[in-house]
Amino acid sequence: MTALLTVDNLSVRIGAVEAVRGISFAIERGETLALVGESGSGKSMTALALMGLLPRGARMQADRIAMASGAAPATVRGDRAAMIFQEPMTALNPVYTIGDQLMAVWRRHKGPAGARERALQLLDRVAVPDPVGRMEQYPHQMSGGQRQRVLIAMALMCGPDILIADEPTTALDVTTQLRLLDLLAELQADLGLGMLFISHDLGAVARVGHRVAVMKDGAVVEQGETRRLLSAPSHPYTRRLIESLPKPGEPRTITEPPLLAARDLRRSYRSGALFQRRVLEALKGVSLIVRRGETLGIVGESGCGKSTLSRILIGLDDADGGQVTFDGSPVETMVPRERARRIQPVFQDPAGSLNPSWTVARILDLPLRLHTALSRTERRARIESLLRDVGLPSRAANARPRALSGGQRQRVAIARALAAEPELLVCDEPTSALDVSVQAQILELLKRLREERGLSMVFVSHDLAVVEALCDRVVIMDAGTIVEEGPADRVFVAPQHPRTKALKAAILGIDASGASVTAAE
Amino acid sequence: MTGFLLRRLALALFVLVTISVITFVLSHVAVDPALGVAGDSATDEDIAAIRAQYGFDRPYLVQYAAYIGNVLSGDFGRSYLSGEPVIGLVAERVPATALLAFLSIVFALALSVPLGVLAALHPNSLLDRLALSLAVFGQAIPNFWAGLLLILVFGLNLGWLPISGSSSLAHFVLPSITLGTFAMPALMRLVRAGMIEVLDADYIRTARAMGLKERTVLWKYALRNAVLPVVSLTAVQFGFMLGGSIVVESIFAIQGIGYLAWQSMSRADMPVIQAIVLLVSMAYIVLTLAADLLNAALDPRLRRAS
Repeated sequence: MTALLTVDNLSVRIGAVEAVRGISFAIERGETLALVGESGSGKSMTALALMGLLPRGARMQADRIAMASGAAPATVRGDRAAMIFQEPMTALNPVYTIGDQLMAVWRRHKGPAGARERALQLLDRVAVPDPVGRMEQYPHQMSGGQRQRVLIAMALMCGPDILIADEPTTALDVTTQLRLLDLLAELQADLGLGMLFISHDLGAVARVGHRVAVMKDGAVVEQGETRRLLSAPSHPYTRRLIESLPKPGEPRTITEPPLLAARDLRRSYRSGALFQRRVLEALKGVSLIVRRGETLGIVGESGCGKSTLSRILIGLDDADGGQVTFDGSPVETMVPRERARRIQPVFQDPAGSLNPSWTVARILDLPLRLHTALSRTERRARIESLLRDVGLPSRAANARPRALSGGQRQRVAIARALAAEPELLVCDEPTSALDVSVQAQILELLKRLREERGLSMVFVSHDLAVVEALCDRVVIMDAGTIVEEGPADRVFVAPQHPRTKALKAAILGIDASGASVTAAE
Repeated sequence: MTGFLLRRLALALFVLVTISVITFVLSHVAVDPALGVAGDSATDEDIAAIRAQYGFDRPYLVQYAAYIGNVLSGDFGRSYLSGEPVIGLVAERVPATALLAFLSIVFALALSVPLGVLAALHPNSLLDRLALSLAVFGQAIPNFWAGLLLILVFGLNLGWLPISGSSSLAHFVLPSITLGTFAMPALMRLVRAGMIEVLDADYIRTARAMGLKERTVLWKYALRNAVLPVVSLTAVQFGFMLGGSIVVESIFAIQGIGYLAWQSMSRADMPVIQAIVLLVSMAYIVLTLAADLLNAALDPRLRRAS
């Protein structure tokens, strides 16, 4: 029996860069092949090449790319071969209804009759509530998870043989991610689809993949049955990936006096037009303390208020009610510059939070000039030592952010935060935009720095596993309130609140046999 | 939606009142309107008599109230020059200018949308550069020169089209091209920029991944997202044209608003100028409102407030 999809010796070049280097694989009916790798490994380029969707300037070459019928998937896309993408928020056309967009696919490939019935049937199949009502809605009226369900329905409209899913759950909250992964796996099995599942997340791969191909620098370094490959990886790169998964840390019990205390913080935002004001309560009375030298984790899903809270702690936003005290005095009595020196932020996206036209040296020089009285030579020496502290070579001083990798940029952002010698670091999702192996390095770096400098830290994240690896104490937020707090090990081992339990249950892990596990299983 | 309309109407009223105050101040306070009515040869007694007859000696507030009252009942006063009612003078000029503006905008859109889309499809290609050159050319050539050139080629040498007057639709072809050429470049660049951005969007990739025809992707999925700013700019340019083009109307001898405005301004015929200013302001208000409503119809996200 010929495979549903056969790929022989596929290469993709973008300019002088060889993005994909002669990879080969096959997918059988009813089988999911997971393509796993870090950013830049060529996994997305592989998918785009199969579908004939490569960006301008990319050249592909292959001995054979064929489905069982002999056709190339690019010639039957939307019909026999379908693809879904990472960004559900932007992947649907904002100016047409869900129904119009679903039916357009059917009409294009199957003719005018039966489009509406098929769309309704599939919306129901992907468990979108109220399919009839949803048909008339626009994408902006739906959540990210709902939109990804619609995209899955759209991909399945014509009953394809092959489904390519490129990081379909990466942009979603962890609990939504788990539900969608299970939906995809169920649909794949029920419909006998051949699925190419692309992900950087080993936990997700273990959950849905029958076989795994590990990509690095455009080549497949290892390929095999999922459990075997994850339990006994033969390639060192695969081993490194598995070792990079965050592991529970050793929370310390810190009894120092509080450095930062927030009491009954409230913040609401108004939205909507005149006469139709809606008030969104982002924080409904949040109290917490951070002891000197302690790392506090703040965990919750998007919209829970954790980013608003961190913005208030940094001083980028003001609370409507409640009070923040730092080192015993209310923050509003502090001189803003003094407050900025003692509390420094590290943001999620280092590409966006570093001035692209400045060199690293200039980026690091600014806080030194603002907050210290050092001379020019002294500042230069300090920049050298800061770079050394965050594990960057001194020649990085002359580079601009664009020339650095994501992990290096985040190191620069951390060095910038440390330049003023703050007492508290407020990190908002500092590793969410990074690859797992880089994430592991940044977490190690933060651990080392807090030991060396006695730093206190607030670590905001949606990812319970990352928080578990780093934090001493955690608070769990939901809908603007803190629903649970306690020592990190206690909260993770014995969560009390349903919200915490749900978050915990959504962490995807791998057990010793290479099988997918969640904490609930 | 009603709330939106009510707010827009309130804003429109505010703009109109402000403009009427400004024109009133310019015509009654900054200069002595009696001088304009009396003409150059009038004696001091004549001027005093006119001042009393027209009520120019009353307090400004009373004069303004009287003026607004008249305007609301459709009476814009009489031209100082011809003595005819202003409303009639202006009304007989509106059709020619409106037709010219409409045809010019249609011409500009008919050229700028396809060119902008094609340029966006192949950015930095030969086609894109040609379109850009055309745009620079259109923007750089002065109206009077482009108009004269068209008259020379299509009117005099080839004899295809009439070159003077406004008695038939054919008379409007060359003036519309002249005026439209000037409006086209900005629209084309906006279509191009919008399409380049939209074609890079995730939802366009989705549409292609679903195998939709490239024609559908371009003209249905992409263009509707890209034209939103174009709609707004078109409204502004249309309003600008409704103010009349003095140059184009002069060259082609079209008896339009622009020509009338120029005549009135050169002779300080204040009532006519006031009427034209109010008319053009109103046209702007109506057009921008129409553009906003059209955009709301095109993009459901803008309807969210309703």
